[in-house]
Amino acid sequence: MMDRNDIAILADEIFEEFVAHPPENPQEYSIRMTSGTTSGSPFLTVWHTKNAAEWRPDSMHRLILAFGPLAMRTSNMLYFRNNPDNEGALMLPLDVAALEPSAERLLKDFAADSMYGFPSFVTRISEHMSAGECASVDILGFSGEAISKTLRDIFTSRFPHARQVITFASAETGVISTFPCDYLSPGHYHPRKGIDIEVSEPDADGVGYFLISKDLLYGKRMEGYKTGDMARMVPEACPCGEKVTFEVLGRAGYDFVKVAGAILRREEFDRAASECAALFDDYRAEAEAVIINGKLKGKIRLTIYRAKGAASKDEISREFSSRVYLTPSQTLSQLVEKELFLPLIVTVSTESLPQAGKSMKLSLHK
Amino acid sequence: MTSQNDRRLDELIAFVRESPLSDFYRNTWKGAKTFAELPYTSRADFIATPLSLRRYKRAKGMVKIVGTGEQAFLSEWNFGDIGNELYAPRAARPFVYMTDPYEAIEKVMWCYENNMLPLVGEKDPDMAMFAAKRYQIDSLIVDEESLMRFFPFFTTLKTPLSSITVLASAFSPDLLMPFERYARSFRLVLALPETGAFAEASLSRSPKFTTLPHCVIERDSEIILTKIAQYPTPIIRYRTGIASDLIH
Repeated sequence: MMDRNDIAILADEIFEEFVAHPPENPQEYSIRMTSGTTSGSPFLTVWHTKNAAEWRPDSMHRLILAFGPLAMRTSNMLYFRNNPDNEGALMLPLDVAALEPSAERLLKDFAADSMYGFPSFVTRISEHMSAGECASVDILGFSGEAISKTLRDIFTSRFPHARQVITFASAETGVISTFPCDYLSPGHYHPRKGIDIEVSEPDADGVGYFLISKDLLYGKRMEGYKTGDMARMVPEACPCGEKVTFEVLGRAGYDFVKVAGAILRREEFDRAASECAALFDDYRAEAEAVIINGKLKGKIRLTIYRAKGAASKDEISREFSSRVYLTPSQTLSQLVEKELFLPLIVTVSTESLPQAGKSMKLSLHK
Repeated sequence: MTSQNDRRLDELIAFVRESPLSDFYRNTWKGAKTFAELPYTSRADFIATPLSLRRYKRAKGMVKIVGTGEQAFLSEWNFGDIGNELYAPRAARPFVYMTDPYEAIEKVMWCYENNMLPLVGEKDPDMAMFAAKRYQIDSLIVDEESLMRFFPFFTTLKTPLSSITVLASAFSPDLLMPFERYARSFRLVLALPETGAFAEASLSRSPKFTTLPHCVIERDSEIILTKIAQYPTPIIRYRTGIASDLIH
């Protein structure tokens, strides 16, 4: 079984080989860097265009690309360029972080029929689009963040004619799933060709650690890489004829969750909680994306346990919010001021919080 | 202008005048017959006219947002046209590091169109420098602001890069001169996001720019640019807003 450190070593070996012996067709390769935001140090990965997400170019003539890292935007632009089936199509690699009111005029001008990106980014873009423009979107492709039912419902309501295509991928593995068939439920995927999947240490419900195996460049192989996700194999064959279906249930250990464009890290929550040790002894945090007056916002509920102490919920909310960083430079308090997150909701438990097995201190509200 | 440029310019004017796809230029040109009679265009025209009404060809490409606020507009570039721009010398491992993400993506695509495998630098300079070092970059395509942020990288450089190309609409030679020793070739390229490149100079305290091929420069108080290329929105007698005394 491989973990992220093994993948980093493998990626380094491949990258050194790649630099020493550059490929003859550079247009078929792109280089990305894992951010190192969620765990460990960054490393560079090389991807062949055959690793690109599977698209249906016949209905994607005006595509908005909505990813954060520039390398993700450039590699998807390269895949778009190389696709022989989308002649005449245009791609707008939108800089979502810099969206401003004038974007409404420009988005109307571009008249997108499809979008592909982070769900939180697509939500932000939709806030600058009229109902008519949203109704003209046929395909919404998502990758990179978990999508709750709330978000799916929001997209269904805002983009009534759009098919939601969710691709399962990670920075270390690339795209894992195929273009979904018509029979898959949310959170269910078919593995793409060349990817072997396995669920290890399954519990009574068949839920265990998700493992990926696949061939990489220069004869290297990713073997049983533990992605950090919990998954289960679906025993029934899919009506589409595909024999292998898997369901992804969330992150193992909940080291981080992504909500409303921010990455909430358990380590950071632990650090902030340790600074609030005078206020409470233990905590569980649950986050979700909600829509308030048409705007996407993050919402965090903090359940705390304290053996003693009398600080009010407001005081705990204020103290914790001013200490916990949700981005490298902004605390929850600052994001609340910017109206990107709702004020922290604090609930006090009179009993110590459950510690069982895979219990999670930080989780995504389902 | 050379006679070959004259002929290509005539072809461009005819292409635009007769295009069934857009009236953008036809409406402003009206009865003008010769190139010298054609009225100037400017960013104001591009802002006032949606891209959908000034598209003269339909080919696969990327669309950029140029400018900010009410001055923002869309600029479309086909991949082949991007590749034909004269942005930088060839290199084995080019690194693209630009403040404007649309420009960064376009220059990455320029590298691919010219059979090079680029690496793009993320906004965070530490991340960018880490990546550049790992890739053992041999050239840099950059804007002035990004170059300044990239300075610590050069202190670790053992041998000079093959080239540094700075793309901008204005330059501060005094700020750039300290970087000269970090590359065997240091090139300044005058370019706008909507026009592409149109003049180049070697780095010096008083750089003398020369016009690039397929570009026609006229001098008013500012540079008036025509690019002899059939872009989605052709650049014909375009007010650049750049002082005309910059070009030699």
